[in-house]
Amino acid sequence: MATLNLHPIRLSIIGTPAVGQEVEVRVLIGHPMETGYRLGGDGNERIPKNIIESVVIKLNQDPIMQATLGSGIAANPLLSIFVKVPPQGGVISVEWRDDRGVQGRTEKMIVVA
Amino acid sequence: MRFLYVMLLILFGLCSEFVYADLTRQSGNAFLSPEMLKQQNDPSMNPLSLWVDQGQELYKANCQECHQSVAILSKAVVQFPRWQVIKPPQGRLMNIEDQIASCYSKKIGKELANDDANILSLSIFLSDAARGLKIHIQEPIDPKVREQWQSQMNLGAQIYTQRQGRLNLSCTQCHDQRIGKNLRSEIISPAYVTGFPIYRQSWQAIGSLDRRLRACYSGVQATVPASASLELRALELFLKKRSEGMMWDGPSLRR
Repeated sequence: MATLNLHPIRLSIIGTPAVGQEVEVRVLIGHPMETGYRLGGDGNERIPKNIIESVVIKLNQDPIMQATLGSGIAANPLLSIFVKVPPQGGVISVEWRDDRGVQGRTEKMIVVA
Repeated sequence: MRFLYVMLLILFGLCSEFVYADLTRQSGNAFLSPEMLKQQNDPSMNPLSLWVDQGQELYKANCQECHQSVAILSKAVVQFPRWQVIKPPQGRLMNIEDQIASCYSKKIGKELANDDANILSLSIFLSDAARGLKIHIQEPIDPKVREQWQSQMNLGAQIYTQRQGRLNLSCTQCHDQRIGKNLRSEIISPAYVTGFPIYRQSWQAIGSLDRRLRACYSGVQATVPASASLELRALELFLKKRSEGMMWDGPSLRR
């Protein structure tokens, strides 16, 4: 579920899940990814840094991807991985945390066709 | 052979409004790279889909009580800017974000600017729902109001053709006379406003037509007007009227 107004998140599964086959999992996270280097307002002050530090994608509670993002990643990052569909399908979940301790998560079922 | 070709073109132009529209009035989407177009058309990759979701939740929470049908409400997207009478006989041109901001601020009891994230989310949600509608700007019926409306339209046309800024360029010099040519790595598109708000990658953020037009002013190194100023609304009215009858593309992805 989207956290209203602050950091929307969207998780999509691309392709028809079949056992043993791969599906693409795409994650879009609404986040400003502010580098801390930009000058704002009248040009005298730096816009404070605000960067997602870690993203963890889990399949049935087991971490299958961990990423450390930095200031080189654009705002509203899009991450994509390929996942092998387990025999009974399962639940893909995404969790992220930024440098201010703000967190977000979402999850989606992989239903085997 | 060439004569025949020209004759055929004219014939098609006369016979079919559709062909006419296709040849001369193209939406900005026709000038996107294939990669950008692919990203725009795929909600799993298009960042705008985040704010469509967001706007839908805001709509359900705050607007649905009164505006029950999204289909009816979203028609406003292709009909604004409109002349709204605030305190009779005073009125002003309001675009869709102004209208949403004024209504939404009343509902939540807090004054919000028209570039507030919530207002833009709602605007994106409605714009998305208005996909496929035809742009239709109506003249006001009241003759007095129509006079004021027309003077704003004229002001818009004047701004569009007026050279300005350190580059001494008018909108029309590129967006009418140099369509399809390159401006650095970009291809110049005709100035039809068929898909706003936009997510612009160089902003790394969403923005309304108001913000896009201010970026144009800064592009030709002219004095940038304040957000929601009279001249921006007049220009917006002119541009939207110029796009009369074109299909609405919904919120768009741009570089």
